[in-house]
Amino acid sequence: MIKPDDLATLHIHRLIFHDVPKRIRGLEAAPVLSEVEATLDEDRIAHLKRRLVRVLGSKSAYDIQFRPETQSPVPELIRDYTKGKQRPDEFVPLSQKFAQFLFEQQTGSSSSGVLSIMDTTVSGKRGLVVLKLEREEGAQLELSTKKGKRTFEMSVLDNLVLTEGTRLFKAALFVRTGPGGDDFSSGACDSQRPFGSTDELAQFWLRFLGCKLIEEPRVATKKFFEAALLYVNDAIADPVEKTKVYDHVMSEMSSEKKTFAPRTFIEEYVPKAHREPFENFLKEQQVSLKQFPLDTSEIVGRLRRRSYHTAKGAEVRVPEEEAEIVKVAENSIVIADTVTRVDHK
Amino acid sequence: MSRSDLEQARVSWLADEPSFREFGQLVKSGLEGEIKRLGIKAEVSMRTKDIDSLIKKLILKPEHTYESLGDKVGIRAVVRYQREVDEIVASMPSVCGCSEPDDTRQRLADEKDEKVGYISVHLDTWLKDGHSLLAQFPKTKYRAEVQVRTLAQHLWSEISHDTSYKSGTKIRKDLKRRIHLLAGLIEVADNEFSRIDDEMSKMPDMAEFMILKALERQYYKLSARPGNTDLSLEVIRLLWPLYEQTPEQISNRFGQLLNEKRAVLQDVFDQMSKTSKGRSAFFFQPEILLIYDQLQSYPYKLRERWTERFPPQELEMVATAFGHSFA
Repeated sequence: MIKPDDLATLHIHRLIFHDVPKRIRGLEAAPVLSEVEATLDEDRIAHLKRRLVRVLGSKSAYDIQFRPETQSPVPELIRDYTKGKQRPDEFVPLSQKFAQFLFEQQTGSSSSGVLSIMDTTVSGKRGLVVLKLEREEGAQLELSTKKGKRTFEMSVLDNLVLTEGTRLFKAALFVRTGPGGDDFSSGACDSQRPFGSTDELAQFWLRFLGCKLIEEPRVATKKFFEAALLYVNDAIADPVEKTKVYDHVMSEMSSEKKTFAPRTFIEEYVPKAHREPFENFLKEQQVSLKQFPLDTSEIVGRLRRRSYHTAKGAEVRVPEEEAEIVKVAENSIVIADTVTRVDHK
Repeated sequence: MSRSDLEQARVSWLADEPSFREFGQLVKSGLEGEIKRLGIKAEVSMRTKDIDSLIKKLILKPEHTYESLGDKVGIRAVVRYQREVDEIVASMPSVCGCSEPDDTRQRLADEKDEKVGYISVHLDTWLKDGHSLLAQFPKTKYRAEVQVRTLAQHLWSEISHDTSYKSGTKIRKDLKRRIHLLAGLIEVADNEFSRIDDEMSKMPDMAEFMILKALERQYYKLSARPGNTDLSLEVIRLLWPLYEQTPEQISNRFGQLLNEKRAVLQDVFDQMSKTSKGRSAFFFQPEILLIYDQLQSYPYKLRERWTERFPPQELEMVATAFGHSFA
């Protein structure tokens, strides 16, 4: 799991760009590969890092792990490169393999882009950043020559990433945390398409990386739902606020949205006085604050409500899966349950 | 000292000066590191004697040879308060080998007529036994004089240096009395600054100052770059109520924060010092630690409160430096 302290201590030691066009049937195309890494420029690095933090630390970022079985060579390249000491000589060929694989994958409606690989450390631990910047068709990138070898210098960023308006941004950070093949802390984000979308393009980035979400969406959804209801019941005393937040939880969980971001929910629906305590409660309950695809398959029964409205204005709502606790007779309604709270509105 | 001795001294110093400069930098770095560890705001400077001063000193002090002349390298730390002088002097043995401190304040107090005048603490220093560069800078040859003094003491020293108050010259009695009065005034001012600082940092009705003092104590462990006090007080005034704690409780948080997060904070400070374009104007300010703490503890309240007074993009820059995204 990528944490703010990880992003704060991210250092970029090497960086390279490759221009990776889209493969179009019948047309000759090939990636333009840099042969040497770019010269680092402190101010541009600082700016680039700020953009990476904004994306990888955003509400839309998600924690990932390598897929055990994948067609992508990316996991193996990352495992191998980050093992042991830094091997600067292998950086350029490694990055070219990423670019070549991206080119092979970039067909159909995938966009052309500039792929950047960064050799990094996070609190001294080795890591790699993989970044794809999309650019307009026809936009030219200027190749430079360094010691007789071609390269894209950091100035290419000026038009692609350093302008505030750049939105088309796919990023991933892999930090080695131990010697094992899966000892990584990894996160990703696709600012162009939320990964929860069902279409092919939305899955493109994860497939390219050979990764999957660290937590099954159905588990993440259930954990948030249960923790949120627990908090609403135990920590919100005001009955009006309690009802409102409860309704928002039910409504968001039942919505047609593809993804759910807990931090967005907090900002939009949780009363100000409860934002920090609620977020802390979610953390205590091991609920990830990162975005996840909404999958209500494990809570669907609890989301459905059955409502009973009486002649004198009483209203009883019960979870559909608990409907048998209500016994309705001609002049009475009996609920076989224990009263835990009475709110006076 | 003969003319040929002076000529030889000149030749020797021209040859030796670069290595003494290197040695001086070494001691200065050690001293700066220690001052940072103590969390003290200080101006530290180093100089090697220029060739003219060296020759003049040999002429004025004929009892010395080129080899025996001390003070070829001088390192000076100027701090705000006397207690900080005492703290630095007390921790000098952890930085380098050093003589007993020559404390002129103590010397003046010991004299029969309790004179006033130039006050400073001087120590003769050298590399400690076991230092990896001891062979390159043996302690028999490479010595540096370290002076530690307050700003007020520095003022007296600088002005008296230029006007020969402290030379052995016979001065008319009435002038001498005025000079003594002036020196006394500076010493009183120095003591008063220390007392006021001490009292201000304990007054509950001056919460902002108390919190600022607590922040400074930790901030100067991370950076020697001074902040803008007016801005600090405004930020503290705006944000400290979010804690809903007493100023004493808040002040205690920052020591704990630094203990837990020192490595991360130092890393970010080092990164920010390399880029002037990529950092917020609020970064090199003592209250940055308060902002960092609140980014973790009260991220929502902080953003809301901040925008009442300061540009949101500045907070966003601070947040991203510490790995937090508002996106």
